[in-house]
Amino acid sequence: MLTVKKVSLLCSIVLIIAIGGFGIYEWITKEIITASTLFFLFLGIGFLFQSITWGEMDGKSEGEKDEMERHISLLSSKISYYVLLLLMIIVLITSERVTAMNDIKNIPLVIVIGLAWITMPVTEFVVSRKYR
Amino acid sequence: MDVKKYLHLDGGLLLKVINNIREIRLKRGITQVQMAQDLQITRQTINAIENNKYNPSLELALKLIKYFDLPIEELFYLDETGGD
Repeated sequence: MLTVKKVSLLCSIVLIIAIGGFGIYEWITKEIITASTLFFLFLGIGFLFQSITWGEMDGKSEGEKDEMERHISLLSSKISYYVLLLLMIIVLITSERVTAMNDIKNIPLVIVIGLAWITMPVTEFVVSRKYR
Repeated sequence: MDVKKYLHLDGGLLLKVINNIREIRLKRGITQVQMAQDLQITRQTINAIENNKYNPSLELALKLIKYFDLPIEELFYLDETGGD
């Protein structure tokens, strides 16, 4: 188990350093950051945290988790939802650089934020039906 | 007493559940690893329960009662003093 964790940590760090290094090289030489670089960098960071928490790069399946681990996942899901919502709003504000809401041009992102905003209450409504 | 700490969002009082699992386990010479294997949970879960950082589910609480063969009140109790 400890070996799996060490290998997972090592692979994640190697991935982050390799992709990060390539990203910095591209930024310096071509002054661009490609979508694939960003994607794989985020993937590497995700793997690193999964390795630290669960000891495996791809995390732990629900069936393998005991009740406290499931509690950790559940609590993290709720916190992640609000953090993600906040991050999307920050991205929208910084990318649009407007103060008036009607000046926003990135309508797809506004729709995504709107959908994210209603996802939780709608899901809570559906889940609450099960307990009535 | 830190009132905020013990208040539910609806204003009701939230009493902390305290347990004597560590004392009972040590008295019986059982290690956390052994107990984790016997109850099919992780050692981290036992550690969190013993440190009162996590309240076990009813299912696990019943398993613990059976494991130690003790009544529930000897394992868990409500901290009605509010931690003072």
